[in-house]
Amino acid sequence: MTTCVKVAAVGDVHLDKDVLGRFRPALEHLGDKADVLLLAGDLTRHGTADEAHCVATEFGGLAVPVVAVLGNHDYQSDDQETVAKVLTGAGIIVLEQSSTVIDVGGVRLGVAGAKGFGGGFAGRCGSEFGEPEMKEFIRHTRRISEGLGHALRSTDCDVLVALTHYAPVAETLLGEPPEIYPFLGSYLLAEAIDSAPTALAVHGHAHAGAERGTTPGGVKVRNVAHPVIKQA
Amino acid sequence: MKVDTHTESQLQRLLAEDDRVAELGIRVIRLDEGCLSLSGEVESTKRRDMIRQVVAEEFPDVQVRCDIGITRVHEPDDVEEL
Repeated sequence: MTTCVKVAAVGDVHLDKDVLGRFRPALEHLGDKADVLLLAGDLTRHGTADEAHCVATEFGGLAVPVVAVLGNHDYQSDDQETVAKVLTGAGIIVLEQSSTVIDVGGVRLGVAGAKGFGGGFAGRCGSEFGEPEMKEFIRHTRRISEGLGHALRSTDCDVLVALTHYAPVAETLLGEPPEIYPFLGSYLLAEAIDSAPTALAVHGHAHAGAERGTTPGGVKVRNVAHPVIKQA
Repeated sequence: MKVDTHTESQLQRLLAEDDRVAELGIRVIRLDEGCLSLSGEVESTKRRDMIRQVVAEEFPDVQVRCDIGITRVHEPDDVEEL
């Protein structure tokens, strides 16, 4: 049995009324080209219910299952639960330290997802030390990464994909100023990804980054932020 | 108006924190001739126009060059096999 699964993915689409319908022409033939669409966070501009309805309109009712994680923009109005609820109402599967299994012609595709967070990469990262704010910053990343790792390891499937908003490796940040890497991702996410038989890791967030990278454990990483892939 | 690193920082903060803009991916570069350049991509011309407007409101005396593009949305024509 072949285990070929066609994955379409994009992040950082930042939908609002002004761009509603913009992605629709490219999504028309999605069913011929892909088995699933992954949305890698920052689906809205300010994380409002109105903007979430725009996402639901744009990416709801497609020919393939749609799986999403939220990004930092989707948290801006402190109303991320409403955003997730609106997307879920449109049939979009929203993951946060959780997973889903989709049957693709007999192949069980598992997607485990989490927003992720920052902190930086080996030798140039923060740790849970010092002021409460600093400890909380890194603790947030650690907890999300642990949750992602657990979701990945406990998903029973044939092909396993990790979906985050923040980056698990520095390679896909090339092009961004190195000084802001700690705000773009964390090595803790890569540790989680490498703790499971992950076949592919997809993320967004780094608009000026690079498309391709690999985790220390050899998992292929793809930055699908819309300004990086420059296509729908 | 003298354009220095403080101006750069203030402009970067404005682009992120002004609700009308909310863009974290726009790069601000100080050019030799004393003006600031904005580069990066946004999803619509309306958003680019808003950036121009907000920056002009907040920094009326600073010469700003806007090199912001609009991200394309054509269908992908290639498939990567992993």
